[in-house]
Amino acid sequence: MAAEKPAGGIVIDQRLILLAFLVVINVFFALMSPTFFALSNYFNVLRACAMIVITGTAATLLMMTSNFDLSTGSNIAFTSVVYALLAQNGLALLPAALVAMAGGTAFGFINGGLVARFNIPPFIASLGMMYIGRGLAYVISDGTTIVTNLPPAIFGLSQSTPLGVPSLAWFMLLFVAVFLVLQKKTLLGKYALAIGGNPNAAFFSGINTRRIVFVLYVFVGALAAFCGILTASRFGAGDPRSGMGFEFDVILAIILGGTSLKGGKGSVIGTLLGALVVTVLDNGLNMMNVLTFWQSIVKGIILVLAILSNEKLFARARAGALPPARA
Amino acid sequence: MGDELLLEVRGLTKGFPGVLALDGVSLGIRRHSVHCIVGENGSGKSTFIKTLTGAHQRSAGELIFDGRPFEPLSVGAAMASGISVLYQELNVVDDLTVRENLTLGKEESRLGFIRRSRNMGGVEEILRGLDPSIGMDTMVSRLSVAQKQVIEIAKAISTNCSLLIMDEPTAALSEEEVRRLFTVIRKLKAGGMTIIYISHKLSEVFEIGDVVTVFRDGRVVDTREVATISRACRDIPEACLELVRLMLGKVVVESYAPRPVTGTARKLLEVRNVSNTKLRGVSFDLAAGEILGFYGLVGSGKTEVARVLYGIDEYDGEVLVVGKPLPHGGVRAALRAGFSMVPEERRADGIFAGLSVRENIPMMRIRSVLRNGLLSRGAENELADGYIKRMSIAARDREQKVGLLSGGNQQKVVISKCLNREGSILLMDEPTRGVDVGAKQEIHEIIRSLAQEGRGIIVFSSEMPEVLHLCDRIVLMHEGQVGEIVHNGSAEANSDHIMIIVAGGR
Repeated sequence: MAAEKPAGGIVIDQRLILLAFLVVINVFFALMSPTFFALSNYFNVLRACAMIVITGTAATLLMMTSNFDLSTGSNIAFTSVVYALLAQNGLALLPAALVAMAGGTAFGFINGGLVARFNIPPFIASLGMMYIGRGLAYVISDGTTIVTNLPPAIFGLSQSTPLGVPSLAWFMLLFVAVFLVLQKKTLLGKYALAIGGNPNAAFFSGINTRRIVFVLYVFVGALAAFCGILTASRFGAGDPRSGMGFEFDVILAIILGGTSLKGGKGSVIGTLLGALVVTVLDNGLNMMNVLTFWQSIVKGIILVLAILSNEKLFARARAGALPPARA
Repeated sequence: MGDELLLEVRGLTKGFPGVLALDGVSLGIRRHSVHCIVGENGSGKSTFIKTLTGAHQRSAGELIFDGRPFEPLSVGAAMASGISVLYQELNVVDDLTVRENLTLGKEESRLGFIRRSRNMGGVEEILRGLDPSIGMDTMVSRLSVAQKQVIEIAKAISTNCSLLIMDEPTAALSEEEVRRLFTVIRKLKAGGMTIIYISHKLSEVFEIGDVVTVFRDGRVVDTREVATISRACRDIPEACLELVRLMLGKVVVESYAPRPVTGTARKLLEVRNVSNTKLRGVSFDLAAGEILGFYGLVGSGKTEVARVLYGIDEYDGEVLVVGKPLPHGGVRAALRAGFSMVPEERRADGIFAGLSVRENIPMMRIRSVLRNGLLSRGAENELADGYIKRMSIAARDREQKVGLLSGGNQQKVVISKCLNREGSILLMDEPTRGVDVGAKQEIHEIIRSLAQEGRGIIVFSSEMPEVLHLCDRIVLMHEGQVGEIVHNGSAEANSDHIMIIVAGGR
């Protein structure tokens, strides 16, 4: 059989294209804006994309199984509100964070249970949790931002700069490293790939597909909850309106990074690059004083172009893989 | 003469890239008859039906329907001309009532509001005539499969259908339901309908059919009056044997090199009296180092035996693996007990087409490539290279995607995946389907060497030459039961005897 394309070429290609694109837009913005190309601005970029990447690492593995989670934004709002409320009422920060994270992680248990145990489509299950979570955040905060009487130490987690680098960037690096290992070196990553690639073959190979999907939902819930704590720490407040649209930013970064919605391939590094591209675009356009409204349009165009190119490459590789038609 | 035929097919040919699915098929369908079509998988039956109904466009040949040349461009066009198909998957809407289903798509409306559905074309009377027990306002979800079929039949009749094609209509029916369906078919015939009836159950041909056409390898082998066959034969099994001979043609078997299993060999598997909806009292056993074959016609229960052993289907009865009962608990329990399976549908169930050879092979026992709890690329490489060499997998290198390999090499990857599981019993469902001749030889060699190493191997095959060439003993299946277990190399292990048993004879 003619098979000239290198194996694994599609994912690598996608990431290389993304890296090249990232370099191009950096050069472009550096030329167009005097303030863009500065260390302090890059720290801003890292702060802005840290949470997308942190949640995105686990969500990448989840999407490799052809599942996804729409409730991560609501999870952030819920967790940050619970955290702030507990802190406001005098609970020490660490136990407050742990309790709030347990609540946020419960999102993952519920999503995972609905999808893996009861075969509810991931769209429905996580959309339900998206509405429920957002609603709960409003209910327990009574619709207001929890900002008064919070201990000043609440800022410590997100606003410190160990070794001169923002803590959010350190967290981001940590989770990228952990999930890179999970993706490449553990059963979880390998099985996630197998489940998305061919669920039947995974079943016949004796892989416990339900448990893998369930565990990944719990991971995504836990990481989104952690981002809720980071959000509360970053702004020193628990805002039930925080994390609006966050779930789609995460999915956008993952898809830009070459992970297919259909599952079966994916890359944590790709997600990191995807998130960086989106954030740099946002940041650079801001620096050029382009209206925020245009940023949304640019994101949309880039997403569609990326998928178009990705699907075309994917389709060609698949067409090459098909055996001659049989009766 | 021409008037007697409702449909005349002349030299019908349909090619797909690389394959001629229909090769000069000619036959005539007489008015008001039940015309049965039989043949094994891949004989061209379904392609024939699809070409008749406009789902496929023919490459060559002529169709004359009701005295006029017939060019169905789509399924809708064929239906408009009076040809309806009752598919195995029923097209009724479960959440509507019987009446709503009958008039679906033909509702009268005013400004988009449905007026009370009228009794279009007397469809309600037609349904009452076929099965008076079905209430018009019953929800279709509460009906049995057989009753849903009757609704589809009634719909087809009301559209002035003159040729009704039934594709294995009894596959999902109980015996009682089959009897009622046959009553309906007889009523239809008496009412002037012409029916093409496709079935794997040959005994049905003799119960309901007037004429039978046998397909093999895309050609019509023979068309006969059912009455002439059954008159020449003493009983139904003997009559079925006639058809089986036609369906299978001349069986050319390469010689079997006897590999007698020593009497002292350890029993790996004992199956006692296993039954479920598709199987009745199946018993056999398997010794270490043995290649056991399962052979039977389509629908005889071969695949069902594989599904029971691999933990997919429930069953009553006893399965002992090395003396211990097989725990119920699905595929994972079966794997733990020592089974692994090469599935029938390689592309759908066997391979991860988008992953490389290296990534596919450890999938069933990923622990084999863990070092210190982490996946080791080195261990994966070593494992993959080992199997590529041992199985002679013709891949460019271990990083090549399995989807890009040829069928035979894909199958070798699936076998490697199963071997790496290191179980004691290997189930192989159609191990050489869709594989070229050379690779087939190689895979047979591999199977023999695996047995030599002491594994127990069960080969489920619909190719008689394969089981006669490869297997030490052959379990002959007929309608979910074990007909006979023959020792290969013995006097009974010949194609004539095997055909008699799988046709249901003694």
